[in-house]
Amino acid sequence: MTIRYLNPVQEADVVPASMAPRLKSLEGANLGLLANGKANAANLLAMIGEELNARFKLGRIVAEHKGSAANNCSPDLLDDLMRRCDAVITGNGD
Amino acid sequence: MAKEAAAQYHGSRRIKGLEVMNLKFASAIGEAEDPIALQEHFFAMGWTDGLPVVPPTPERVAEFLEASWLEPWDVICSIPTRNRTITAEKVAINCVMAGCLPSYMPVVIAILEAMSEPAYRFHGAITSTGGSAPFVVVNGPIRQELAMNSGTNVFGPGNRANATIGRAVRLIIMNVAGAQPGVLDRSTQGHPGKYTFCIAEAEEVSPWEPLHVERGFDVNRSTVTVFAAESAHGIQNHQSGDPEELLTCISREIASIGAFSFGQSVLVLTPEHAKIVAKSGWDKKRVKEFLFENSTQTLADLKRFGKLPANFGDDFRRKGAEVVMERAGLSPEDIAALVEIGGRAEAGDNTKFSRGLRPDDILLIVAGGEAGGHSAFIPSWSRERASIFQTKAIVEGCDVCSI
Repeated sequence: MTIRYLNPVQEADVVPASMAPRLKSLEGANLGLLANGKANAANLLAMIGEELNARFKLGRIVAEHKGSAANNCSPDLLDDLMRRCDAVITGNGD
Repeated sequence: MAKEAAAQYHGSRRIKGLEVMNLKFASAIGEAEDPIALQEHFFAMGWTDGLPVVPPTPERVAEFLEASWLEPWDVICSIPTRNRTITAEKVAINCVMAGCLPSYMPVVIAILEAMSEPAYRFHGAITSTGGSAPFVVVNGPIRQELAMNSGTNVFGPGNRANATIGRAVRLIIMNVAGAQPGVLDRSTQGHPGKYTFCIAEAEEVSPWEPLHVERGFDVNRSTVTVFAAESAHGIQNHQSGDPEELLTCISREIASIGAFSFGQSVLVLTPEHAKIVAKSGWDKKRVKEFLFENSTQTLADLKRFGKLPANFGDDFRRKGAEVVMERAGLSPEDIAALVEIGGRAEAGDNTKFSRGLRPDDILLIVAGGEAGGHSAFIPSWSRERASIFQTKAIVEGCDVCSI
């Protein structure tokens, strides 16, 4: 006896996105560090920022915090980072 | 063998005996040779919670939509962090799979509406290592209509509505919200409530107003209250007949160091415990205030047992901390309370901190068998205030349809 069934899975709403243009160098670049809200994310990113600054002599480091790993980053904060930074690194440090 | 094709099911739908429209499902239709092949295919695809499911045939799914007066494409809620839109069709499919009756679907929909409130933090609660489960309390007349259990063995097996409503929510979390165990659901351990965690309040034996009335709803409305819950802690006390003695015992469990945080709590008082407290004239407000005042840990112990970072207090007071908490979605009241707590840390290691931020952070209900001194404390998910419990009215039938 053949049984017909409906697929129970909902796929994500996919929105095409393109990669941001790559920087030729980090020399003098303003670098954003966006912590995702986990306990050690800001510490981890600060260490990465220091290391990159030692290697590339960055312009300015902008440390930000999106509040909670459970939320999307607010559009206002993303716009602010775009204005102030040439590149942004985000990460998870639990 | 089961096979699937990108076909669509077209069929008629009848409401009150009238054929009103054609159904067109967006979901792909599959075919299996027999029931065993279907089950094996669903297991292989990771579409179940590890238990067999009821086949979601187009005809059965249509019955569920009809019972809830919804079209397949009606949007129940969305999860922006996951880029997911949850439609009535997918909810119905997973309700069928869980073993629900069509009449349970409005309850499941209300639960999803509660979980999609921003303060519930749908995405975080279903994916975190904390491994929470949505704990659901049903109030109002629908408890009797669906023959739900609020009594003996209330957290245990044996009641179809309790079991399958909670299970349907889990299947929706996996299949529709995309939190597959081990993939996006990264629970470190999880707990048994992740199979199903749904009860009704024993309003008839409770000495106090039911939860939904306390939360501002009419006693004749039916509601769900949803709480992102860690595993329940049992509280056994058969000896005490004194409210303060009994509630102090319960407070010690609510303050348990392993579960301690400034998050919310659920206390499911068994009828026997509720009667002991209420017969002395204690109302719900007084009970919650007593529990809040006595569910405490000292700063010294929180440090000694590794429950707080050494710079506790500074976390809430440092420059920009309020902005970060606001970005995390905390309410202004919660931010102010956490800043105040941070200030209190300066008073020294003997300073006491309650679990939660205020007495109303304790969700107090009555449920369980009438015999026995067994209550339960259920702590919230997350180290702090990541999820706040939500109450939603259950919409039955169709208020606007005239057919």
